[in-house]
Amino acid sequence: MQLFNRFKKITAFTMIILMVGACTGDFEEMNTNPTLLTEDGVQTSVLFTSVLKHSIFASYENTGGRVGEFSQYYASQASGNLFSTSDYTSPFNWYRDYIININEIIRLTADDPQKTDQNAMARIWKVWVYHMMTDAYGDIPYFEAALGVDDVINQPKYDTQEAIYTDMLNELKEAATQLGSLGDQESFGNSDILYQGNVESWEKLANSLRLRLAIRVRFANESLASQHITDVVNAPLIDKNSENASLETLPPSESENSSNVNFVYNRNLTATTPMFVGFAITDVMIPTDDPRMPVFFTPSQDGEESYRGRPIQLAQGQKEPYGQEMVASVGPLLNADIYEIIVMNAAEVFFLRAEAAFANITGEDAEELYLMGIQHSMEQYNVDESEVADFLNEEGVVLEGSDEEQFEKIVTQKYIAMFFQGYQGWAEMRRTGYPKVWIGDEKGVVDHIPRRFTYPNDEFLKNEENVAAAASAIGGDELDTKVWWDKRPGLPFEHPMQDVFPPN
Amino acid sequence: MRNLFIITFALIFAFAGTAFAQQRTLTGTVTSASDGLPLPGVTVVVQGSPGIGTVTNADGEYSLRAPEGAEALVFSFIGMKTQTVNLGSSNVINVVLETSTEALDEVVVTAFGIERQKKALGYSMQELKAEEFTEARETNVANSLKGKVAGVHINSSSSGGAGGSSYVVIRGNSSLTGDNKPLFIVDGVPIDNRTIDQPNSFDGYDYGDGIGNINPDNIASMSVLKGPSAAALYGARGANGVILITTKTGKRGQGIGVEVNSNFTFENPSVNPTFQNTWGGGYDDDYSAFGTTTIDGEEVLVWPGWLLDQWGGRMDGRPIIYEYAPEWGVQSYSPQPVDNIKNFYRTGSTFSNTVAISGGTEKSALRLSVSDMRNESIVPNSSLKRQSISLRASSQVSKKLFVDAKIDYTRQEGNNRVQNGISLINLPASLEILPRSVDLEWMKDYRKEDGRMQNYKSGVPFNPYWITERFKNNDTRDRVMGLARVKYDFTNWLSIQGRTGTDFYTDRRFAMIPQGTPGAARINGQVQNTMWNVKEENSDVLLTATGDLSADFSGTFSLGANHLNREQEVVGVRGENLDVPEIYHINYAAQVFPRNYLEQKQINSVYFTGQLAYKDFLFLDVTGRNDWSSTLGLDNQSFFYPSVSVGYLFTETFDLNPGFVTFGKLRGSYAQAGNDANPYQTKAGYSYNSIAFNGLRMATITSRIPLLDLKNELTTSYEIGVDLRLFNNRLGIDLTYYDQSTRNQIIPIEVSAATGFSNRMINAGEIRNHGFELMLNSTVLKLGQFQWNMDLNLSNNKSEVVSLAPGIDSHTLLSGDGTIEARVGESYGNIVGFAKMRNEAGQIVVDENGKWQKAESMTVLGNIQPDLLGGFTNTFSYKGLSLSGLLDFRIGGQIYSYSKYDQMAKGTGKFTEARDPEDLIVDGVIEDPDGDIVVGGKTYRKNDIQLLSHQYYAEQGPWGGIAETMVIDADYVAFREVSLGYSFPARLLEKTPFNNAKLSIVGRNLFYLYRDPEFKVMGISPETAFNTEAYAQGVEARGLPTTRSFGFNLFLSF
Repeated sequence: MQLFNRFKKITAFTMIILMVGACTGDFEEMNTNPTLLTEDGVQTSVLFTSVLKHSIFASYENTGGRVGEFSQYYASQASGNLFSTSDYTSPFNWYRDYIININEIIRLTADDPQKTDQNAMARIWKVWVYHMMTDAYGDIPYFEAALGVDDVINQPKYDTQEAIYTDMLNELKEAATQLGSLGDQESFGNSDILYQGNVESWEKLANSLRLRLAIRVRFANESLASQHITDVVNAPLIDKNSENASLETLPPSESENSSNVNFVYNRNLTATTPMFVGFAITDVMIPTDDPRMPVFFTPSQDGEESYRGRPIQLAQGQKEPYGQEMVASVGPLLNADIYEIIVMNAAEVFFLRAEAAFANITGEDAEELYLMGIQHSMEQYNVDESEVADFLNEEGVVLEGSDEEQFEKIVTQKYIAMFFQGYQGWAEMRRTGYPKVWIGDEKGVVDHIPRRFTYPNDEFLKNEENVAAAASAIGGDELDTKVWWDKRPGLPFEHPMQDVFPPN
Repeated sequence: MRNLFIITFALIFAFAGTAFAQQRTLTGTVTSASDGLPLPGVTVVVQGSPGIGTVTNADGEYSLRAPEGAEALVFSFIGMKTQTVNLGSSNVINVVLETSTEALDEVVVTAFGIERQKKALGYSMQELKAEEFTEARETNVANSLKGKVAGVHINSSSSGGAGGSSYVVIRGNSSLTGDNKPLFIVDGVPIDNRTIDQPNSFDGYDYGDGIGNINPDNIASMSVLKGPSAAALYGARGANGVILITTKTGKRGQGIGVEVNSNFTFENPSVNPTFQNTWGGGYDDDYSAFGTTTIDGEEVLVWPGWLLDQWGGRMDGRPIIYEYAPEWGVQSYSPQPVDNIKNFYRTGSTFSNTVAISGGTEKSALRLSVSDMRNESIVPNSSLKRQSISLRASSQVSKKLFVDAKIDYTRQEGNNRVQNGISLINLPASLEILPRSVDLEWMKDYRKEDGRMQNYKSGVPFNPYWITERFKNNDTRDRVMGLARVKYDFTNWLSIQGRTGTDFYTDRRFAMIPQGTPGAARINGQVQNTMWNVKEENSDVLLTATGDLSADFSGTFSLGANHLNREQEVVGVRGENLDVPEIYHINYAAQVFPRNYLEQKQINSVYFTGQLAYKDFLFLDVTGRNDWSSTLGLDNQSFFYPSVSVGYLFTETFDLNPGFVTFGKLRGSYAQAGNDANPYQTKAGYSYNSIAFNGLRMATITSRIPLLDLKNELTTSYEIGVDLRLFNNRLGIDLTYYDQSTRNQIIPIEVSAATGFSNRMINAGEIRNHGFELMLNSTVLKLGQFQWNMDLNLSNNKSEVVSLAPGIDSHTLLSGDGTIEARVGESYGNIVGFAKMRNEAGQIVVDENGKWQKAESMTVLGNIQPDLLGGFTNTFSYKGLSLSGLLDFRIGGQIYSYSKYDQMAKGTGKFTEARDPEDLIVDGVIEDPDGDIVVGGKTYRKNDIQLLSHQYYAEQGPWGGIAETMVIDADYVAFREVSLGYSFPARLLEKTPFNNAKLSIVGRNLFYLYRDPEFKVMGISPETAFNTEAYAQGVEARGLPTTRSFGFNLFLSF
């Protein structure tokens, strides 16, 4: 009997123990991170601000790195051999930084009739981010990339640049149509730091961007280009500086953080070495005595007041004439406490239209559009009208000469008008061959400005099969492999002074 | 679970059944003469009837039904002298056993604090006694284990010297998620051993771990339970092994005793970086990077403010000024003294004192200890203080009720901990890459008139004095560890124990960046206040039945449950842009960023453990445990895992063993151990950025793809071993082979950036570790009072990443030029990166300009894990004098050296001194159709192209992205420890109040007998790590110099 009682006690004890163990009722709540917002809790506008701010700043700040040196808008004295194999992780990491978040906005707004405008704006912005990425690398993951938590593909396939461009052009076309199609909508409002939710402005950006993309592919797929150019050229485009897509950095005194401030201004706070300018940009501005030079550049400090920039790849013995005091550095425009980062400006749109007209894709007047482009750029930088008039009469500016010479002038003026948009400068230089770039004797793995970035090392670890397939499809993962739209024959052109030292 | 019930009841019935079957009931308690504590596991048999007997329970109590005619009982226990007691009329027979001098009869502390005969264990474990870590001591007691325990890999974090964390891994790394450290249990209660907010490879401060907060003077012993079989009962967190710490207690039945331990050590850098003393700043081996100016009609070189690299012309004594430090005036362009850097450091010191009072009455015991530790680091202004007070009390309240409680309070205060890692803002970097022409003396005036930092250049690296004099940080930790235990004996065979333990601490951390520090975010200063609250609570109950099942079988069975609650919260603020000069307070920050994060997890567990002994030679242990963890997927919260082990003392059964075998045991075990996850891995979401833009908040999606159905990891292990004592105990051999695999790894696998995420949680993959451990103990010589003991331990671990997720064949543990990863089919911790380009014959292929080239694709350049670890101790003793020395060594494995990266990228390293043009030709070949060397169908010619020094050196490694150059063998043999001790003989102490006195002279980390020549020439140690994660052990990331310490230890008791 005593034993039985004990037995009962032990049974009860065991039962209690097991019940304690299995008591897991509040485990789910305990394991929910209180700092995370759920899909229902997050506002798409807050995601949108983040993507806009960070991607626009990145496009500008990257110009202070290799993209800037390749575009020749910027040069660093400390850079040694730039034509080297390096791990080019940016802009590939933009998938993580921007594309995934834009895709979330697109997904979260897709089925909401109150958010079709938001949806369209996100689709437009996605193209703006993506085209810089594919321009930098060539073929990249696109259709299988950044699909979201539930649909993620661990190892996304690479798509051809042609397929990507074809889709981006269609996206822009559809998004422009979608904008405003359902009347009054829930707006991004001030969270849209680019246009404050203005539907018309977004439509113009979509159309202008479509024009840029179409022009970019015209040597690779003429019919695709023509089809979009003729379609878009009569649609509303950015044609005033007041409509420029741009974002101002915040004043240092009022900014929440130094990361919201002009990075050149920040850099100058403690740096002793100025940010130099590239040789090519000065090489095309000096001969025409371009009145934008005092805005863009600070002249050399050796008493010569020279606007001459610093060439790339200087070898031992070539650096002497390009010492710290002897070259121009970036000017008041970039050194200011507030910088207006350009996403796309009216001047560029005029030059795009000029090129389309010049190539007989449209029936517009190429020369008139060319001059409009220059004037809008001058206006953007508040250049005195008399100086503009003088400039337009410069031999190097007047649109005359052979077809190739005229083409060079259109492209060169656009290159100047896109100052410090490193991704654009580098892409257009590769597409057209202008401006021609003088290269120093420092031997790199290529002997001209690289035609693309090599894929990040990380991809060969995480997505090996697909990146290897892409590498072989584009003809090798090399710095001098041409991307799909890079089809103009004879490129790169050699600089006329290539065999002379110093070139000036 | 059904099975669990059946087993439980079956065993309990079995005990009950046998307990009532005999005639005269004898009871009593067996205690140890040495410490008065009860002795469990003592064999009690009736003299003349060896079949009738029992063993004492966990409280040293026994109960035996003896036949009427029995005359005496025989009490025997390994480690104790056997005692025979004649039976009188009393049925209560209490016995005090005296310690035997036979070394083999060791008693060790195992899971749940149960003291057991080591001979009965079916798994491998090793116990260390107090002297092994109190004399030649480290501020973090875990570091003292280095070289002493087979199979344990220890590396101290290089961060900040004293108070830093320790990397401790038993039998290799088995988990990819990072935490491979064993569970530390103090007096039966787990402690929190995390290093919260630990440094990363770039920077950060190491505020120390949990084990480092334990005062070594309070530790009675440490037991290392190596595999899951030993640790199976500790569940989720025991999968990496367990280190059991038993603290000292008062002794019942003794008067008041006092112990004093006083330890003083001083330390100096033992390994200092070396420098070239010929070449100055610039590139191209000339002076073209410099400007020139004219001062007093003399042309003077101007060091430009951006210049750091040392690839310029010879430092030939010409006049030079520094653009960024005009106040230095015109200096001679010459190399500065070799000790320029070494002299930056000071002699460090550590002074620790502990006083302990213990006493006991018949029923109660008490011990109170107070200790104080003060450390001054080798880095000026950096120090650590630690005070602790510890109280332990226990009482046998009644015959059936025993209570035990402990409270341990520690206060630790760190001042100006040193940041290291590869960021150039850190102190070691600022010294290691200081241009050779700059004298540290010039930099002592570290602050310019305008309040900014004085330096030879803009930006990074900083003036080292600016770092040590102007950067301030301090931290205090208040930590309480306590336990309360109640034990009630229902009968002589059944008892229940309830215990609750806690470990909680609050860290208050303040750090600031002084105004005038370069960088836009730093120039106006920053402050940061952080408060951490960490709490770990464990409560458990344990029901234990002990007794005989039959004449030959005896056993113990326990059934228990545990509840773990862990909470961790951080609350902090960081402020930028301070508005008022030199006031470093958050109130004056223009921008303030808050930080708050709360994490909680609970595990509920039930478990059983049973031990069955057949006679005195066959022992069987069975355990089972089921856990419910809050961190796993909703359907996978519950998981079960068992273990079984057998110990067989073959020398007790056969006469077959030759005479020279004193003792022999075979053991084998099989065990599983589950492991849960960190909190919050099962859901995704969005979070706000801390920084707004123009008042607008910004949010992004999390960078991790969660796993809704997260399951536990499961480690399965097998172990076999043999334990032999030969030649009358003169030689002991303990050999173990183990093989363990961890499956269903919870891995945040790194995914392609194109997914839009950084990583994805998965349950997949398997890592296998297998290897052997050998311990040899020998008495080489014994001549009268002189004795020479030699101990050797060796361990070898081979790991293999058997699989990862489908379609994924590598997982990055640490990114960099030399990426550390786990790759399928290879050992854990490969260093992967680019090698130099070579042809099929192994010749280096340079490009047409004679320059280094990277191989086509990345390859495995090394592995971070050692092949063999070992320690070799020699102890000589004569009367009260003993001299002991420990060598420890590592063979195999590599390290990616950031010091080499720096010394090579910046041209400061000694090995870059050879720069005569004929030295700067790469010993390689150039592809050339007209060449005379034919390899693999290609033709080459011998390279004869001279390079510039930076092309030869910097482009060989750092600049060229060729990681191979920085991968160096990590082998070493270190003279780790020496101690000379003298115990004053009793006759000398007779007239003093002391009954025990011992003085030791100790030295630690004395020097390397061997390290890779590359490390030697650079003046770098292969043993530093920036934090305590596995991957960090494969990276030498510019730690502080390692130090050598000497000191004295005095122990007194009265």
